[in-house]
Amino acid sequence: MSMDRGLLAVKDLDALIQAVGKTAAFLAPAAMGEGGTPRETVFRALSSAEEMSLEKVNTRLSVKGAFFPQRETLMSFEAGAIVDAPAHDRPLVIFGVRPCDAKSLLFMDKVFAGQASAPGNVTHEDPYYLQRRKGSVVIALACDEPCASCFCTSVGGHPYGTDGADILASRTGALGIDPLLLEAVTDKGRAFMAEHAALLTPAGADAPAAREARAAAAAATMPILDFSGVKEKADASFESPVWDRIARICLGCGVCTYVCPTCHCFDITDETVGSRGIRIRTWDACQYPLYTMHASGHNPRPAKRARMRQRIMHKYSYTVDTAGMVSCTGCGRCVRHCPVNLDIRQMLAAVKNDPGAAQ
Amino acid sequence: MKNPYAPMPVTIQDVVIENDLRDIKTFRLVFDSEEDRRAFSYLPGQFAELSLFGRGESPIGIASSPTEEGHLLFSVKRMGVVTSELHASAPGRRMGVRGPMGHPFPWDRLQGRDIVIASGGFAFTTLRSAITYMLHGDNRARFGKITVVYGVREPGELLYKDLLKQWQGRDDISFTATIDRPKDGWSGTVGLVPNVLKDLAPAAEGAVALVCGPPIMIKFTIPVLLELGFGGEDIVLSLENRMKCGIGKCGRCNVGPKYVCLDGPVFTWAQLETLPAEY
Repeated sequence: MSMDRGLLAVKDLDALIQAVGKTAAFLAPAAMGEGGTPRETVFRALSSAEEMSLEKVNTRLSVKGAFFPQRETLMSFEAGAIVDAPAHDRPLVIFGVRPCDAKSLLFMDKVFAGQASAPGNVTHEDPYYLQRRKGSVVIALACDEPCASCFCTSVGGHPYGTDGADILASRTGALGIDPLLLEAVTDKGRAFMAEHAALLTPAGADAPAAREARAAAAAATMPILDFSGVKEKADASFESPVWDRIARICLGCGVCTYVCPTCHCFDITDETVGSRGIRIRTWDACQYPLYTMHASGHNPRPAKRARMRQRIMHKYSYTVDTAGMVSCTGCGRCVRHCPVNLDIRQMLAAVKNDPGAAQ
Repeated sequence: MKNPYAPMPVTIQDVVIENDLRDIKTFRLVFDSEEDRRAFSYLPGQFAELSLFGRGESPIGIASSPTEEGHLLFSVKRMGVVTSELHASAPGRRMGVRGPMGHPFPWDRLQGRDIVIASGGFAFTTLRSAITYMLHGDNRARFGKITVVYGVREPGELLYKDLLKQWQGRDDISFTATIDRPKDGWSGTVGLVPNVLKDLAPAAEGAVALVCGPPIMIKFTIPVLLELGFGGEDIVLSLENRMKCGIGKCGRCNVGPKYVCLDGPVFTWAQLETLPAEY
């Protein structure tokens, strides 16, 4: 049985979590701390709907950690030989992923499947990411009230966008009171809805039109910034003083990279006790000088200007070449979390309007 | 799905101290499994990650040639945690190798051409692989004249001394080892690589140049080659950048939109001219 559309009552969310929990982990935004009012939320494995917190526009950390954890064991070893290379996790159902994060998965999939690379290069698949991803269902939650730092519509996204989602959930009225409209985007989403059809009620024939109207209203609250030509201008401005002006204020803390849904840099290190140990990978950041420093001490990106330029060029120029897409989804986290209020939108405008660009 | 992060088990068979400073050693590694040995199919110019559990990994150019069957050679300078541990390792130690990684020198394009090699210092390792490969009986006829300039600061820094002697005695390769400044006991060529190359003036017509060395050598060698008439497409270089994964995901080795590990480490001068100098 296939199912394209259905209504999920708020009271049935818990039943859905229980049903999913039999075979998979159910992840959704929840308060970062234990209990209390959620100032910030993160994706957590939930055992009841009470823990879920959908009020925030977005989670502090993006959805990437569900597939590419901040720290994970690649393999364990003993006496110089691998004893275990774990790869299998429980399947994941991730609920409440905002469309900007869902869209980021299209890019991350390319990176970890080895598709963000020139033809003629060897394709390397990352088993850790891909196995988690393969066993996942992504249920996006449309945004009715994008915040001031959101700019998805300026980078090809939409507060009701379905890119990267298996199912799009959207409000039919008040959050936490009125039912959510679930619409399948992919076959995987359709199968999930069929599996849990008992919890869904039919949506009226006017549901798509109502959703369309909400989508248009949400998008209308967002100014559209014109980033056209930014790649060409950034490529031509590589040596421009504009990067000094942008980098001057930056502390180099790297928070922009940790909260970013598409930053995927990592380090690989070994941790040992005696002759036993684990090889782990942890998120790393291009904003740190050690990140690129050679063993000789030579550093190809020795200055903040070069590292800041790297981050912006990577999102807006390099991945256009390697993966065919801008790899910024406009989630606005780097804007919200920067301790010195750097704003990538202003940086892009500065690059675009840079009179010092080489011809 | 094959796990590209899992090293293939190998055993150190032999260790050779290469230089007077004793901080460069060549490690001969043999695969523990016949299946891995066969799977590790490479060409000169590629590199691999040497893996020591408990310490980490280092990306190192492959110094052996695929014509030297049965083992791999890596010449490693003692620099950090992994390479220091490696230098403290004796034959018989088990370790890991991941690879081969990156693109080799463009052998399809090198076929039928004269080959000019300009190399300085420690960067000679993958060129040892290339020269051994070209001089092998099965391959020598596929290439024209082979001219090599290999420069170091002083004689004690020359790698692969026995092999160099053999090459200098052959008539199918012009091999010039040079040192920066005169030194007692050295009767060979004296001079910096770009200057020696300029004096030798190898014909650019139908030739390709392979250039590996420290940045300062490359900086002064490129103009000499261009002046000799080499086009940017016919000057081939090998880059190094810090790496972790070696498979284009961890991010740190990029030069503009190119990853040294995946798109390189071999690039032509024509390519590098279009890329930022972040290497």
